[in-house]
Amino acid sequence: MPIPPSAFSLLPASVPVRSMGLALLLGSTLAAPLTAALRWNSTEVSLHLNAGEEIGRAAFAFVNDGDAAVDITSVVPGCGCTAALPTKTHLAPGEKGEIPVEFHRGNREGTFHVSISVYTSADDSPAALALNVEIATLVKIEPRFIYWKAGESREARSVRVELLSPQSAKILDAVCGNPLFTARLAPVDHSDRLFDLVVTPPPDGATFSSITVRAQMGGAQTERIYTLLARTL
Amino acid sequence: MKPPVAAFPPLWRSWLLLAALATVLAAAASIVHPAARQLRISAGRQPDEITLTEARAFRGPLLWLDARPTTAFAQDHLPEALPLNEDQWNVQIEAVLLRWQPGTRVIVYCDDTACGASRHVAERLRHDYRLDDVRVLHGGWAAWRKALAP
Repeated sequence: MPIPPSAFSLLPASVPVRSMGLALLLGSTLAAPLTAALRWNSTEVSLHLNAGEEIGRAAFAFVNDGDAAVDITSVVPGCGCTAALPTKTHLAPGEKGEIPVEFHRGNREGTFHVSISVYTSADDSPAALALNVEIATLVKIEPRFIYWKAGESREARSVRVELLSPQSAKILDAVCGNPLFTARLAPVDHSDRLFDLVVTPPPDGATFSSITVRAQMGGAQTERIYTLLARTL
Repeated sequence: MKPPVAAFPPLWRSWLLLAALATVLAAAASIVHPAARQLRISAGRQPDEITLTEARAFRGPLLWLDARPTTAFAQDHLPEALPLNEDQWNVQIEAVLLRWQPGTRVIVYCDDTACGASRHVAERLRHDYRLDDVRVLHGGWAAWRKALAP
């Protein structure tokens, strides 16, 4: 059996070419609401910051692949930690651009997901971009919240404090905001990197205290502050 | 030689075929187009998500947390909700932990289904603060607004 010259030859001979054109038009009309003028190279970008890095930079690249010009009316990051400003706000058809973003770590550690909404003249709803930031953890504290239930024995409880990086960093101290509580850093081994933070609550009463653990980066002389909360119910 | 009349299908059958072809084209576009991802996300539901109806049916104490930027919280928020976003975490977390009681169900919300802030806040509360009953509001603030709409 001969191979048909094209997929169209599989259609019945009675299907006129004009009707097929109508079908294509109908298909493209149904799909039309999903067509966007700005096409992003990627709507998700990842960043990694080492323990000593304060700022991370990345960019979201795009092209206007529509038939009309597009204006970027505003770019709204979901976090004050992130600045985002497009290189150009008016894009002719076919024109490329990008939105460079700058992430300021502040006192953050761990994984952060920053959403960035881009409003354009091409669409009523904004394009949703995602900046995934992984910040190396200097000090791991688990858990960050300890509590004693009402009627429970008010014995001291421990929180594990571990210095993860770099080698030159060190734990300075741990201080309670409420003098009714006491906090003491007890070394777990001789490494100076692993401690038990032993917290003793007041013998009675419902109260709380924030506890601040200070760590220092070696050469950079940068101090990091970590807080946890102790509470009696 | 003339072809037999039976080889020509009726016109309605041709149109049916064309309609099917058009539907296939539209379906293909909705799968491959990047914007369709947003629609598919909104259709799914994660295991730790809770709907507004389920939240209202819960009989124990609830603690609503607003993971949206502080400016959005200042404009409007769920009644009795507390703000807790990554930007202001160190400032806001204390009020959250002081409001919390054992047995409290914490429900975090952000803008809508596509926003990831509420999920990250929930994960952090579970992992770093060991709060055991933390959920994410399915549909977020948009679902609440929709429920309020006449």
